[in-house]
Amino acid sequence: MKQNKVKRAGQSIPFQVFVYLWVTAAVIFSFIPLYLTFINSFKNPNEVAFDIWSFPGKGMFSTLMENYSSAWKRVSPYFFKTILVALVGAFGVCLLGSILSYILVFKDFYFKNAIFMLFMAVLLVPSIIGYPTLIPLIRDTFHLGDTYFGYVLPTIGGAQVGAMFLFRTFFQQQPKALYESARIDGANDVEIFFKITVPLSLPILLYYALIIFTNIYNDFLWASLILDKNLTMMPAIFSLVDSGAVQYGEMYALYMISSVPLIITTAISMKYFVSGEFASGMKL
Amino acid sequence: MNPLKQKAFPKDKRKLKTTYLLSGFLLLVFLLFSILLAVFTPRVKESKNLEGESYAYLFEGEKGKTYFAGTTDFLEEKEIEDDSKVLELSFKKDLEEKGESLSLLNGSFSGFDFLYSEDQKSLLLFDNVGNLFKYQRKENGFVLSDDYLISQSPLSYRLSTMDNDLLYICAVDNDNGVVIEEYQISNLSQGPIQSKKIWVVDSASGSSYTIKRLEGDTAFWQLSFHSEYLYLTQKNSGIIKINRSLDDYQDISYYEAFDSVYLSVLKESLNALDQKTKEEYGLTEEIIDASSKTQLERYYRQATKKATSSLRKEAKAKFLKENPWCLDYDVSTGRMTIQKDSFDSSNYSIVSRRNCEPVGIIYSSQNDAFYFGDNLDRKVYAIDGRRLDAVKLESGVYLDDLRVDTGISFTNYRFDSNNALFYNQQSNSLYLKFNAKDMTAIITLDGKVKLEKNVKTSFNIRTFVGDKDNRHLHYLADLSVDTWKGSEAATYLYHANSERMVHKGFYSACFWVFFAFALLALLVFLISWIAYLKPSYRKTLGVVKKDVKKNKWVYLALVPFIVLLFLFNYYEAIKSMGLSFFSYTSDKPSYLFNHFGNYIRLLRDKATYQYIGNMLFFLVFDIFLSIVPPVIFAFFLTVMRSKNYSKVMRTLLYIPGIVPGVASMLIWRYSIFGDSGILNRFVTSVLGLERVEFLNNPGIARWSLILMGFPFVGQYIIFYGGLMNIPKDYFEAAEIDGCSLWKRFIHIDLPLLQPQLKYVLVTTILNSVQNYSRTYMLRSAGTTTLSQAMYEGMLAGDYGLAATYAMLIFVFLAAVIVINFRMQKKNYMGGEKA
Repeated sequence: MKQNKVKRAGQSIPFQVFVYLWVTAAVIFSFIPLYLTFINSFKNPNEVAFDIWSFPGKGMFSTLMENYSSAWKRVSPYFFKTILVALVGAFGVCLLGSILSYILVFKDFYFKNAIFMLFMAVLLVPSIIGYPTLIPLIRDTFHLGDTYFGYVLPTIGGAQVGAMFLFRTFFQQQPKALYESARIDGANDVEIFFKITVPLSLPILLYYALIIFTNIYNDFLWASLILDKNLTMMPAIFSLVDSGAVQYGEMYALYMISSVPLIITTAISMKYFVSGEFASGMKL
Repeated sequence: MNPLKQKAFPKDKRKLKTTYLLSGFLLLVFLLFSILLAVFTPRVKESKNLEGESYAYLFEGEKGKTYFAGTTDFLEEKEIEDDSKVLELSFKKDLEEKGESLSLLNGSFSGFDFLYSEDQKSLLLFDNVGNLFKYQRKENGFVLSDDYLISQSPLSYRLSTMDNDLLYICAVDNDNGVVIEEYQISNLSQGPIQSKKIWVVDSASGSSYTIKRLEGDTAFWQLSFHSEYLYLTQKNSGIIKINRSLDDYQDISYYEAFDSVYLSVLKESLNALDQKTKEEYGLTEEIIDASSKTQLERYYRQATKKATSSLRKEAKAKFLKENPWCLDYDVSTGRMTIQKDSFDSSNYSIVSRRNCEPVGIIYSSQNDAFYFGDNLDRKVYAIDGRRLDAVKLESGVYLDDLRVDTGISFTNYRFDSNNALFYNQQSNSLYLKFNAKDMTAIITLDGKVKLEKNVKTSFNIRTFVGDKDNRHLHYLADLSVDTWKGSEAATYLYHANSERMVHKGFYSACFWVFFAFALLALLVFLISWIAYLKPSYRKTLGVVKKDVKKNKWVYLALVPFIVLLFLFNYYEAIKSMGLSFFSYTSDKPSYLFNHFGNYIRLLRDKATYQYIGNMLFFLVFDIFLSIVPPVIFAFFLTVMRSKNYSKVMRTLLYIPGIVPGVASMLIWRYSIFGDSGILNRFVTSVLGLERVEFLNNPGIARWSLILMGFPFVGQYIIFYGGLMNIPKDYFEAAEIDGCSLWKRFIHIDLPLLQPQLKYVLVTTILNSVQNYSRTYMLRSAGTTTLSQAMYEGMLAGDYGLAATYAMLIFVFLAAVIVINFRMQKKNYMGGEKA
């Protein structure tokens, strides 16, 4: 770069310093909640109330054990169930979304555009407005109130459209020659879907599965409305903390435990996310 | 033109003519069928609006005359269907004429109960203080008989059952013990023929029984009789069996006996205290003599500073010595162990103790069977009457071994504890009420279930009763209608043909099938008719026909997706729109049109405008903060000299995402904005100011919530991805032209970022308006938005109101999105022209 004779825009030292400071400060500030959670899960309630900012003092590891074991006792009934529900939801959404976008991308039929518009129009209808009728439908008509199945079914039904929207752009970018040669070899659609489309788009499928997993795991609204005793993690945590049943140190341990599945999904999807690749599908 | 094709057209035209004529005919047929089905679908019909009548009751009446609906001021006799006449009966007036009893009833006429004795042609009425009135049936009404009973000691609750001239009442006495009383209906004023406090055998072992007194503190629901026994259900004990001939019943006054011993011990010990202490607490012999048990206990505790348990022990020893038949007495639980030969367990025992929470018990003489609902496993059970009568505790037969699962279970619902069961002798069928709005009719035969069908009513049924021929069920339903004037509660009397109601599902399913066929026929008719008239449509039709034939698997494969789409997206949204016109709550799920009450109420409510204001406030800031700082941030990331540093920063920035959304909200609520949170720490110790109420002060709270996105990097990654996809040639060309970075940003980066900007703008608008969790979870003051109000409406179960809020949100969003698209289109067109 140095040997370039033309003075490049934005390479002046003060500007670069400004940029570095801005970016670094933003990153540091965004770590505050995580820092607080981590640090305070080592402390007992008194220490937290006395100084929320400082490092824990003596006996932090025994406090840590205490906090985590009692927090775990509170959420362990929901923890694995929530993960299972989120996995089922993620799998369902990706399966339905990929089949749907396969049909809409690779098949030619007369009403293709009309059907595509039918699906797209839903993205503009806010999902929240359906909830007042969705609850009586699930609970009274299907008798699925307070069940995980009744929770996850509308989630899949609603998220398939978003998945289709995203997968569609990726399927369109796949090499056409592969599909043509497969067809010449006499492969049918099911074979093509499982042997070409899915392997080719596995990264985006996996990445979107992780997003759906995270969304279901993070969901509070729908879960708190339809579930009562069989809760998922988020409403469970909220009702525990909001009712004042949990003390300060334990509260932070609770947050740390609840972020374990997200640590895993984050670690897996980090590379893909950081490159900004997936964002190419997010435009109008 | 090809002559072959020209020839094909008339053939096609002929075909089309037959198609549209045939489909037109089918359309008419299907429409006719669906109209007929809609007309004949069994419905619950309103037979009377009891507006203004504060209390209304249903009970079985005379044969043919069916049943009565009564309130404090009238009694109505209903014939089947709509024929009814008001009979002259006014309790208050009649009692005023009688004079003497009026004082007892003054203002306390709230909890009464009816019973009609066909045998005696008289109506029995219990009021809530234990009085029993008898009305004699006359030609045109009822006349208050002189033969009535004014209770001397008010009993708290009563259930009754009768057999010819005999009336049994179950009541709770002042001492919270259950008392069974037997009356002669024809001679009420003589008082109870028998009246016994009930002790039942709880368990048996070796040569002894453990007996306990029935306590009235737990609700008991139904009383039934069969041959020699009365059966009652009690929540904690289960089914209790009592011999009707209370004569046989040994008057067990163990409890009183122990009490008197205990009392004398108490008095003795108080009298034995030294004179000084006695004077100090003012205990003279007269006072001690006149005091009750609890008073004495208090004196004892005060004077001796000792608990009374030692006295109880002393009393127990004395009591056991005096009464050798009593083997043990558990002072704390009131259970007594007695010798077997002193008590007949088959007459007075608890049949079920384990794993049972019965609701209602009803005897069917045709089947010689008892039916009851069990709220523990939510099932309906039957018991052979003879086997239940034969239960003896020694034989070890318990309810678990006796009960027969009828195969009816309601895993989702509990039986209603109030009037859960109703049995009709005439048709030998049993009716069950559960979940307050659903009913099940069960036709029984030989103790077995012959037919079981749901009778959906979707009313909040308070009580129900069937008439003697059992074709008709009558309900009293409570409904509350939210009108713009506020909530109006009303009680309605409904009736329905139960035999036909069970087919309601079938009828409505048929209706929808025919209706769908009619729509299909309409579609075919319209298409073929238009195609018949217009040749250009004919061509398109041919293409479509070919396509559907060729791609039939594609269309079939799309069906489940479209079904899901309609079921969970379109249907919801459209139904929400409809729901906003009804008063529909989880307690009272009835589609009752309330004359735009929800809308008028919301628009008249000042709070609604505050919610809208908050929504707009958050929307404006959300749009600004989700676009301006993230775009700048993403831009900075791309122009950083060190690509590695940029990558490290992006990686680091992804890490805080591991904290779940709810946890993050709660961290902001407690750890950052809280009283001991970091912001207040900063304000008090660094700035030396007073503590700030970040969330509870309405003026500050909304700004605090805006601050929550800090450091506002938002969805920068979308912009970053967009910027990275811009071809590098553009930048190089700009550089060669000597373009400054600022100019490059404005003229190259921003325009090429437009698709991402639009995406973020639309998603931000949608998310911001729907974001209720921010304001809900932080419990901030004065920041309620429309979506939070809707969410809280749903939590409270008021779905009609929530749907109205949803409609407001929808109208707003639709307007914003339409304007947004319009503007984009305009820009686009303008750009093309230039």
